[in-house]
Amino acid sequence: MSKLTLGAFFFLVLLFFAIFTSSFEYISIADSDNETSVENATRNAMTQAINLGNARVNEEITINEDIAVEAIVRQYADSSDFFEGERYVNIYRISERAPMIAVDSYTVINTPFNDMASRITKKQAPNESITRSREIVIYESKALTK
Amino acid sequence: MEVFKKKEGLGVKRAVISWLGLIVVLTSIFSLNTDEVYAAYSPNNVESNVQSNWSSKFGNKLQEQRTGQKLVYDVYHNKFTRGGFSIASRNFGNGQQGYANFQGWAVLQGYKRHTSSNNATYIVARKVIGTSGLGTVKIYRADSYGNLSASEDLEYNNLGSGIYNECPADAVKKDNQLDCNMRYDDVGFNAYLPVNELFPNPNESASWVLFLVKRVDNQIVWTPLILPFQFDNSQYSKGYISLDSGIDPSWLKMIADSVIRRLYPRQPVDTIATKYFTPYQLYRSLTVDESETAIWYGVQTPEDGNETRWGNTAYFDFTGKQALLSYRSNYRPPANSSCPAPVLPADRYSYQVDLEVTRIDGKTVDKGAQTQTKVDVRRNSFTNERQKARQAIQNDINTRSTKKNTLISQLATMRNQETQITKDLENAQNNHDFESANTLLNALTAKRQEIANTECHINTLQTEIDHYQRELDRLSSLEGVNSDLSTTVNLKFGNKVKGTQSVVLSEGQSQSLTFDWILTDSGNVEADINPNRTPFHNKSEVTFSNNVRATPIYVNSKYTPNACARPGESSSAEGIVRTVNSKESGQQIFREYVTTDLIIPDEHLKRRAGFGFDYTILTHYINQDSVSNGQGPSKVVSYMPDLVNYMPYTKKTWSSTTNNLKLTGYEVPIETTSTSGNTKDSWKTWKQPQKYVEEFSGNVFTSLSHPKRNSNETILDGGRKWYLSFEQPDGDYIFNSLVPNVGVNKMNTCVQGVIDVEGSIVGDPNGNDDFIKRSVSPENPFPQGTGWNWLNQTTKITSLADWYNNWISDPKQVSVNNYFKTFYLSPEKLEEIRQFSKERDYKIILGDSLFKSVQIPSK
Repeated sequence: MSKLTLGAFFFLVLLFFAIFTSSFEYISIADSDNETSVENATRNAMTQAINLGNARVNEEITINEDIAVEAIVRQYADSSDFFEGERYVNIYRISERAPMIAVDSYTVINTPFNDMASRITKKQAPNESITRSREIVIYESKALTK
Repeated sequence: MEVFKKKEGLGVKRAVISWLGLIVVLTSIFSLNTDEVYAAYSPNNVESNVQSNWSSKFGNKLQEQRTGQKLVYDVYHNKFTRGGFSIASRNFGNGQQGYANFQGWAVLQGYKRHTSSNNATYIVARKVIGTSGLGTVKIYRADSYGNLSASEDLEYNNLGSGIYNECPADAVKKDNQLDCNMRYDDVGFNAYLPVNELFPNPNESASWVLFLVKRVDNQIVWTPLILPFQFDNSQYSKGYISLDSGIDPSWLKMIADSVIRRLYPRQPVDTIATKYFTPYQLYRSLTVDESETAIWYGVQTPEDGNETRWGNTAYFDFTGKQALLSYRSNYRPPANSSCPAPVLPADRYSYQVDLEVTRIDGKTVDKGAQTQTKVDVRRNSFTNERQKARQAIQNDINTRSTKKNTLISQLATMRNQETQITKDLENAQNNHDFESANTLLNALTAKRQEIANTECHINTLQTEIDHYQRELDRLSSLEGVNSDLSTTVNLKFGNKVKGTQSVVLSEGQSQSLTFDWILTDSGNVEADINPNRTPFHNKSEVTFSNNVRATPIYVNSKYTPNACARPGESSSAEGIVRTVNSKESGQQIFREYVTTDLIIPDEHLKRRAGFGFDYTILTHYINQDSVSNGQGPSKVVSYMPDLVNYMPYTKKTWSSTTNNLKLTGYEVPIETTSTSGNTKDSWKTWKQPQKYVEEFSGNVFTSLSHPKRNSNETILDGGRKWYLSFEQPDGDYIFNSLVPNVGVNKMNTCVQGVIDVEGSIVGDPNGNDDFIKRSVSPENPFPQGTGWNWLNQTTKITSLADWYNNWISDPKQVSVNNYFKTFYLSPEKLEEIRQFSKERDYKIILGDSLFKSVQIPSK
């Protein structure tokens, strides 16, 4: 028993470790993709939302709110290359003048480790992993006075 | 003493004799009026002893008959010559001449028998009045006449036919009462006094006192000839000839005693009472009887209650003055040198005509284009000169009229004086005051000379007045015919006539003419009035020096500078608009000027890419010509090196027609934004057209209705700026602005603008920008100071700290109220979004929203 048990035990430990490791890596990838996407989306959206006309006329950077929203979403989609899980992209604040975008994004994914843990514990606990990234981007005049 | 006695039976016989006598007399008169030459008779045929001795013995009716010097005579009043005497034309061998002719009879009573051969009667004349030859004596023999016999009339105790107590034929110096009666046959005489000898000068008034000389054989007795009648004057030469014995010769003095006052001539003594005339009393002769030889006088007789009583001539002495044969000339002497001759100068004013070109202009136009030349012509007025001349003429007339009136008044006085002198002369003559008469005659002559001179002077003045009046009339006539003068005006350029116009000018009138003609090159244009120099009514213009006036005329210059003016410099041009040559101001040249400046605000001299810059073109146009239609700039174009969306301009090249200047770029007509001054001195500012900028896209429009306009875009007022591309590289942005075709000369000015482009508003690769994009944390968003656009807005960031630092436990349960926007993105939705972006080439266009195409749940 002991050897078999022990072997089984070690097998189980090894299996657990393997599941845990793969799940952790999975979450890391998802989180990294989310973070990158939020950062890129926010920064690019900021650039895309610049009111060029206002820059011409008033010589000041402002952004278009609607454009900024759409740009965030589209830039997020374009930037994301992890095709698993659910994404919650939340635009917390947008300021047209002075230009500012504050965005966070949550990723919700199911990992094997969570499934396994739920079966062992027989608990109805959620088996999803959640990651969050947030970004605040502004345009600031280099000059302190106009 | 009565010597006549009535003869019985003589009545019929006397009547027959009277008729026969009348016939004889008439025949004689008839024959006297012929031009027959009386060869045997001449009044100048006077015997030498008569000529030398005629005045030796005086006689008259008062002499005793025995003295041989009782000279009895009568001059008939109407017996043979009506009026007593006449001027008869006869030829007595010296040609046809005029003679003062009268008839009478004369005897030396008691001296000797008078026969047809031994007696003759002479008339002696001595000049007593005249201007020459006073005292001259002329003797004329009277012709015997009519076989008149005074025997019966002088017979004492006449008893009828035959002679009572007739004297022997050779008896001498017998008294008819004391001695015997003599025969007096052929005692009639017919005197001819040659008036051309007595009055040879028809202009000289003269008088000759007359004597009657009777010769019987060698007995020559003279007596003053006295006429008891007023004889009629006879016209002669330039006046009349009179023969008279003073004013009232009709008084007769009774010179004998016992002369019966007869009731009719030759009344027989026995038929009347012996009533006598009073000796030496004067009786006025009322009538005469000349039927026989001796005249019987009917005199007013106071003794008979002034009844007419008759007496024989032998008893009446004539009381009149010695007869004067006078010639009174009406001769008016011609004026002498004291009468000024008329001075008739030539017209002092020669009508003046002067036509003048007073003004001409030359308007600058295009070569080969029509120009319009205005020519002012004038007919100069000489009204003042004429008025002065007219006044001078009138003054001359007035002066002479005044003088003339004075002379007329003086002339009337002179004529009155002449009349008075004439009367005085007549009185002196009648009184035989010959000295006074001659003085008066001289005075009369002098007065008449004075009158003649005065009349002459008046005529001179009238002649001069008429002359000056004609001068006035000529002046008025010239004014009339020259009131409107027609002529032509030629416009010449380069010795070629470009136009001719007719003009009618009154004096002092000016007219403006306009000539339209083609200008082929610059040169001189001239106007010439009355080009043929035609006289007007034979009056040439006083001068032709002002008939032509010229002025330069130019083809427009189209000036263009060789290069556009650099920043800070002005571009200027000038040209001649019009030249005017006028009488008043001489040669004038009117120019136009245009100056163009480009003004860029200092803050726009350096720009970021994408920005706009403002610039102003300032034009100043001056036109010195008040009548020029030259205008200041109506257009300014800028040639820009590039465009931004959506500027509607095309690239063009403008080339100068006068030099090598070329401008290339996008041709932007810029607009007038302000105008000041007036058309002759105008300031204008020019700026870019209004721009409209879409707020997000930054597209620039010049019209809100541009088809590329995005209706979802907010439009910003882009002002009148020119916008640079956001990609505009650093460096000088050079553009040129052209002010073309200004004024009459179509001048061009050009200014260059230079903008220093440096960096961009954001994202400049060299960091030469104004804004930076960065991530911030709410805890310390501005660690190096707050940029100016975030001043007073930092709480927008710091307030995010809670959100920033805290998670929500369940993203699915996120409260949308806390967020501006939330999106749930499943992998499928992400893929839809990616596809959407790919389809739009990853561009974001306002209005083409993702959310219209892709439904994205919020959580």
